[in-house]
Amino acid sequence: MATDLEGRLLERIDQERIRPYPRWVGWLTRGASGAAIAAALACSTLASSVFFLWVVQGADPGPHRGFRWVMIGLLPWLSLASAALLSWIGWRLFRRTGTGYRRRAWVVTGIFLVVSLAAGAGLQVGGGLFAIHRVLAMESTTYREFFQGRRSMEWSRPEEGRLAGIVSARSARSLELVDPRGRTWTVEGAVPEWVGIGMEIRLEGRTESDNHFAAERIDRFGPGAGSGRMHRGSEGKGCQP
Amino acid sequence: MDGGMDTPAQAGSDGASVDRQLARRLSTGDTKALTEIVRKWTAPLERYLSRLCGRCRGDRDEILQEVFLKVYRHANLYDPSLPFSAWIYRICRNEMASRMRSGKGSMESGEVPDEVAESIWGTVVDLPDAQLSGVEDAHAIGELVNAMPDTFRDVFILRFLEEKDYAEIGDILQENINTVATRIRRAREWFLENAGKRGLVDRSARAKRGGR
Repeated sequence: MATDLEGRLLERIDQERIRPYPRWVGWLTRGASGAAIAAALACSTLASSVFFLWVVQGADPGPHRGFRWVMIGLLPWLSLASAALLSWIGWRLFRRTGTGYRRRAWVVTGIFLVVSLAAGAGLQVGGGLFAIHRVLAMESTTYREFFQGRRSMEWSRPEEGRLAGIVSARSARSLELVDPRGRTWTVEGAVPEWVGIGMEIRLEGRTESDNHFAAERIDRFGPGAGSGRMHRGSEGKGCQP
Repeated sequence: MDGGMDTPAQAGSDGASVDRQLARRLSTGDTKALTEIVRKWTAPLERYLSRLCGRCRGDRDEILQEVFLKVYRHANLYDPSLPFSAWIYRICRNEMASRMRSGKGSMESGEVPDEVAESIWGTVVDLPDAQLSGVEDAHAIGELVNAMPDTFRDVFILRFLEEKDYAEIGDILQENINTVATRIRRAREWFLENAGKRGLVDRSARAKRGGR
């Protein structure tokens, strides 16, 4: 029996020219698995970071703000749920590695979640999230349009003394922002402390020259801002150009 | 290490380093190493296949051929931290499962010889005063094993027929050892409950054992 089987096997190997897969196939497979796990962890970290951003910004919809604000209020939890889901996906990928299945699902998922929450908090506190946001806001029109939406487009009319955009750099007396059309502006004026890189703001003032704007008032757009109602800007606090 | 005379358990422990060496040689395309692997593993795998699938006797050779070709092809993907026996059993089981999915095999008809049935009875029931009413009817025990849900049957065959330890079963089925332990416990409970329903286990003996 065994002899027959051996003979047939060797015959097939010879006829079909079967050879063991090269060593690099194994490396490639393991590399692809590792990359997929790293990607899941990175996405989970990003989702955690967004969760912390919303928590820090205190996106409280408050009463009577309508469905949109209820949805915005849910975003932190959606971010957290995404982080948990991505951690679980990370476990499913880890399970497929060599002996990953030997570990318990909840332990690996828990480790993924804890690592991504810690890394996410670090990313948010260290300014990494804003850096990513800034790069995307400056480089990607789609991202900018999605993030800023129609209200920024409607508000931003530099020729009428109104400007909106995402802060890409700041100092005590000036800031740089990218408007919804992708134009970079240098804004002169006392910059309130709450203005951070990556934040969406709106300004009132006057256009001084090409890409230079003198701000008289700075307000915040975005979640928690209540269209400028929750976080009052710098009205009455100087902001003189 | 002589031919197919080793039990899988022995092969998994004593012959582990030999298996790894063979796998290393295999990865360079050494067909003599494949011949040695075929001689060593044909009998255990054939027995395992017969327990998984009795009616597909004609296909067993074909399945074994595919298993050994996969072992040969994937030799470079073998992770030495895994017992070779677990790896080859996993390939065998997966090949069988893929055939079942494509409708070429049936898991409902494994063979359970009389002596194996008695061995199952001794290991699974394990009751000093169990009334083995009809235990001689090995066929009934075989039917019980075949009637098990797939998730139980997999672990049951590996544990009580192939006599693999929990860690190796985990490696074959790619499951955590705790999951394996739980499945084995449930499979045993299922077996005892259904053996009771068929009158194979005396109720009073089961009651003594704790109501199972």
